[in-house]
Amino acid sequence: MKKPIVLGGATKYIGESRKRTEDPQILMGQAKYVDDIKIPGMLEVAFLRSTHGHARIKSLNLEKARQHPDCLRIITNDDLSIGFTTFIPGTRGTLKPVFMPFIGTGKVRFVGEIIAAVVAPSRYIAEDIVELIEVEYEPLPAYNDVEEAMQPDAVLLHEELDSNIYYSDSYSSGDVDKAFTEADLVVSEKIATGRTSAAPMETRGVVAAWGWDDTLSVWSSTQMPYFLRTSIALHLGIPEQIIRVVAPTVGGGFGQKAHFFPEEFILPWLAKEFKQPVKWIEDRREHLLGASHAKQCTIYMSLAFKNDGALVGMKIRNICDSGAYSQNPWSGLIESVPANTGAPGAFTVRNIEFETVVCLTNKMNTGAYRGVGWSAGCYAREMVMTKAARLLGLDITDLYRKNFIRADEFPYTTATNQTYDSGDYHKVLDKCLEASDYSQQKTQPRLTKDGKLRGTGVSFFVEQTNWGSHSARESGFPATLHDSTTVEMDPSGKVTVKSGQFSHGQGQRTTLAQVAADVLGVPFEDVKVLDGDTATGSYGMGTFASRSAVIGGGSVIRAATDVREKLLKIAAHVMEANEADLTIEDGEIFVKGSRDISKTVAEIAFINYYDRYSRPDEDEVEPVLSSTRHYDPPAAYANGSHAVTIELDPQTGIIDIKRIVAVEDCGNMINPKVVDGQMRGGASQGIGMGLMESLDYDENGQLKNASFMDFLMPNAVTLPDIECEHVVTPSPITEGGFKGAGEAAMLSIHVALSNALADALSDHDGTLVPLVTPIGPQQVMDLINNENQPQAG
Amino acid sequence: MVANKKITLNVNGVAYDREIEPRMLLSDFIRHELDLCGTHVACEHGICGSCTILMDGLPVRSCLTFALQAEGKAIETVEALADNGELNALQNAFWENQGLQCGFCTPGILMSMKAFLEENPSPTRAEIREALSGNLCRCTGYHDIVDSVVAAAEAAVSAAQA
Amino acid sequence: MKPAKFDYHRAENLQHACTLLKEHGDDAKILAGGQSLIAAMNFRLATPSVLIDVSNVEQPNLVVDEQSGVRVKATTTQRFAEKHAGLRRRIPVLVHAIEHISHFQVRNKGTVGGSIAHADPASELPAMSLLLDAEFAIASATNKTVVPAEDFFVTYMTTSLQADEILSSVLFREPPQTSGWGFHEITQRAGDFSLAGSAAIVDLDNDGKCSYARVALFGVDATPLRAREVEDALLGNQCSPELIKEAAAGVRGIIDPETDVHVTEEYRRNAAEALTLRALEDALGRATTD
Repeated sequence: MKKPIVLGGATKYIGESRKRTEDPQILMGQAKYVDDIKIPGMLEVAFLRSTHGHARIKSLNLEKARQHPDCLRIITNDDLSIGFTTFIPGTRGTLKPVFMPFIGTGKVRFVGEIIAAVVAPSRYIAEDIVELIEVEYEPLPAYNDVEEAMQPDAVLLHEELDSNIYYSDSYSSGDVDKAFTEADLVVSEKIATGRTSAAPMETRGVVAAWGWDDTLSVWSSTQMPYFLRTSIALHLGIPEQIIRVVAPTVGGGFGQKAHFFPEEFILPWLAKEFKQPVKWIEDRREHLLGASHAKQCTIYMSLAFKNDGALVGMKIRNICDSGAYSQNPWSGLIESVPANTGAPGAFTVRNIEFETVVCLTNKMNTGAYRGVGWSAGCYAREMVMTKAARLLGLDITDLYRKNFIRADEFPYTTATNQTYDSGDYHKVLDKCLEASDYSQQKTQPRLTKDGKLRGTGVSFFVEQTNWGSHSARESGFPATLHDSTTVEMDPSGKVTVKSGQFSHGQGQRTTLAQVAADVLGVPFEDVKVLDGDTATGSYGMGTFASRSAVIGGGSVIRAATDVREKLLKIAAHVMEANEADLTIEDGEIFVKGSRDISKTVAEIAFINYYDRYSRPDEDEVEPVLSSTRHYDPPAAYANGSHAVTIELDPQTGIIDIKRIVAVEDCGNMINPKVVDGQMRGGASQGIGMGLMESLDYDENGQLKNASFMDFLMPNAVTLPDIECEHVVTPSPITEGGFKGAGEAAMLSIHVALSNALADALSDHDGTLVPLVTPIGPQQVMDLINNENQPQAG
Repeated sequence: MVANKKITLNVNGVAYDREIEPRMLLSDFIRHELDLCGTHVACEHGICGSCTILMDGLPVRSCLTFALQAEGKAIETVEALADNGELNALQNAFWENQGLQCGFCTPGILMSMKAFLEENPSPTRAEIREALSGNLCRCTGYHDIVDSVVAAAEAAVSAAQA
Repeated sequence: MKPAKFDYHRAENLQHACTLLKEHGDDAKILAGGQSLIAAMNFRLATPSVLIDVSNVEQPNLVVDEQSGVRVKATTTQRFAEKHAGLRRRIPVLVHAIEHISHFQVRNKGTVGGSIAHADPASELPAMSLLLDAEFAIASATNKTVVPAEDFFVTYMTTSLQADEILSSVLFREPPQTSGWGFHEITQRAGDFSLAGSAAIVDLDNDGKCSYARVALFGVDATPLRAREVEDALLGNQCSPELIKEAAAGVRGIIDPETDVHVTEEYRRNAAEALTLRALEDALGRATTD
């Protein structure tokens, strides 16, 4: 591994909370999202989707629908019969490919599965025509409970598999049996985390058009434009170079739009086949039914402790509810695999064994969503630890301190072979406890004067960030990820950064420009970042998995450093100075220590392009002020802590969140305000997951809450202010010392929330610990009613 | 066969006469008939508030309004806020305080807050949260939006005193 | 999620609306604020073939003081009613309840009459009409009648309104001047439909005995309910903490809540009792301090 580059100039912009470049257009309503893309002659698509969770299609009658005067085309599996399978090659464990047709045929496996696509002049009419299609179903048993679907005699969702389990793996390290035998306390629990959806405010959507020049243009609300281009080319059988994928302004993704979905193939296929531009904009019901779900795991967690709180052994069985198929590309492995490889968390435990199972049920597929796997895995470990702390007569923070990896132990390789680069966990925890008045909270009476129960909970997390090939391998997915950036200086001295990352709310058009401006020594305003368009970017996997600051920022550093060096070579020649004596600041090149002899960057750039006789000979310095660099760094591990204070109404189970404190160590921060934004947004989604979000299916596979009326996400009253604090331990192994920051709260804040609930109930029964998410009013009352209800007043 | 109906209304100071299907939602009319795409649609059942516009000065859900119901009304959308590319004070406060991330919910929030601040020029944070509760945001956790609204209110108060 | 086709008529006035309704009969629906109807139409759960839009009907004097209470025209927006100083002064519980309906953007269009005629058992105004002994003025092309609130709500989202009838105004009775009120509902998020709700009005005589009691429940049965059993337990008695606790427990037997995606029937039963107790406590507190 090459050593990280030491930044050449002053870091004027890195570390500054700059206003975001992308915001004025959004604030004026001028930013274009996919539904704002309009092409003359564009037709609209609506899908007929299965209304059964598991059924054979006995007949599909299109006759009435085709008679509709405005029906232009109806496509079924008879027209388009291909599909896709699990993408990840070479995964440890037994991974069986699961085939998903782009358009369902024969039988359907979840409510919302596509059966036909209708093309009409407008979405209104397309929906009218969908209603005229007649489908006769023969219902089959539908599986909601993953442990029922796992039974040997269960009806198979996919007859070509011999079981509904398509992945299993086991791992052992250290002497687990000895650890458990010699332990003073073993706590074992079953934990069930709820099924949720990233549910970005903008749903999915695709526009596709075949051009006069025999090229295919696709606009999709995706986080991965290049991967989508590759996927479309592979399945459409046309060369990748004639496809342009544009992710216009994207209204949030959170991992959910980091997939390849059937709709993202059907629309391009229609455009190519019929040479007509087509649009499909997902409505919210479709979204909740048919965009990937997340987080639902059943976990059996046993932890072994010594009386002093030392965690000496872990035994885990983590079963991921994958839904009906293996979602391309990550598959259902996305939950239980990283959960198990990340099981040690911040702790030095050396004896660990785990079993990983991924099983099919009759629900929408499970896919990536902020904090993949770890949301469930951390919750299970921490809730069992909380219970253990109570049984040992300790506070959870005592357990943390007893088991933390110390600051002087980095780099530290865990029992699951993940190498943590840096951190100071004690310092981060202390900062969180101090900021949240934790010790004072713990001494206050639980019962308030108006009959509420007050509680404070804390949590701590370690997050694997910057998902690239190395992180993927350490996480148990040996996927290859490729990322590059081009930095280019034009004759006017202005800089274009062509990125394979893609901002869909994270602000990389600002942060990557901050990095490039610092490396090159030019004003921030002179840097423009292009992203989200395969015609103008540089091949990369896009933005997800806390990767863009590290990988995008790192590749900008590498490419911009090349350009800087080239520029200095040319300047040294022009200025008759020694290259090593020159530096660049504020767009000016001068001899260090004196600005008497100087040239502007613009002057040198112009000479490079247009003054053959002033610049060095091209054999000496090739007059190209651009560089494309690849970056696939080792995993950097961020860490942090959350504290949540609640007031519980013990008669209704309603939790009122009074305070949230978030502390994070994501290494050097490019733009602290952007980091705060990620911390706060993650906290909001984490509270949603912990408190109210749950996609609930009934025994027939019907989704009971496929609307924003019943699928509840936090609103502005749900949440208090979110107080952010930082600890900075730069990563010694990444360019710039950056670590990722995007997912953090989703590993942790639901733990703090549940710990706050346990604390609120602690006078009543010290061992009451929630073991499910979300903990809505019903779950709270269920928890309380296991025992006598606390008396208020 | 249902005949199209005439509609006359004023949007952002411009008068429009159109013939439309009765079932056309006001959100679709604004976005696709008038090409004012700043108004966003995110649920079409009146929960998320992304499509909020002002009708005769009052914020309403354009997805829960048929375009024909806007007959004779004055509609204001997010496009009306800035003056020839210059952000207004409310927009500027959102920019300064990073009151947005992906921005999809932002136009609806701006329209709601414009009306809210006219009614309550010096709100508390709790009042702002209450007023924001009809607009869902999935990115920010609301904190920076509340900061933005506080800043906009303070800016308006100090501008009035100056 | 786009609505199915329908034909649209804009009513010029109430009489015109009645004529149109008579003409189109069962196929027609009245469109007022549309805040529930259009959502249902967007899901294609409601597919009326004709809409008669009364949202632009010119109606002066939307809120009128009468001797016994306040008359609110059906097309009055909830937001208008909520901001009406006279209504707030005479029937504060009503204004307080309206503030709990969804969010202000929805109340800017949603109407008082629309919410009552929609008769969602979990919404606030139908229950308020029971709490406040409301009378509904109902019009058709040929007839005008008055229906007391207690005879109006038939079952889940079904009222006694006939296909050719329109709810034209609501008379909310003003409670006794010295009475106090309480209103409590549970929502998982501010602005959502309630999981359960209860409202109470109590007045005391000079001996401190309960001389007037009204309790109405919502979200716990197929219709909003008036809890006469609770009222009867209080009337004529000193309202000790023990008595109101016992009275509140009386709601358990008269409600028939359902289990849904959020909470169970049992949860709602417990909640109805707890909220009724809180509503009574608040009402008594306000009654005695007035």
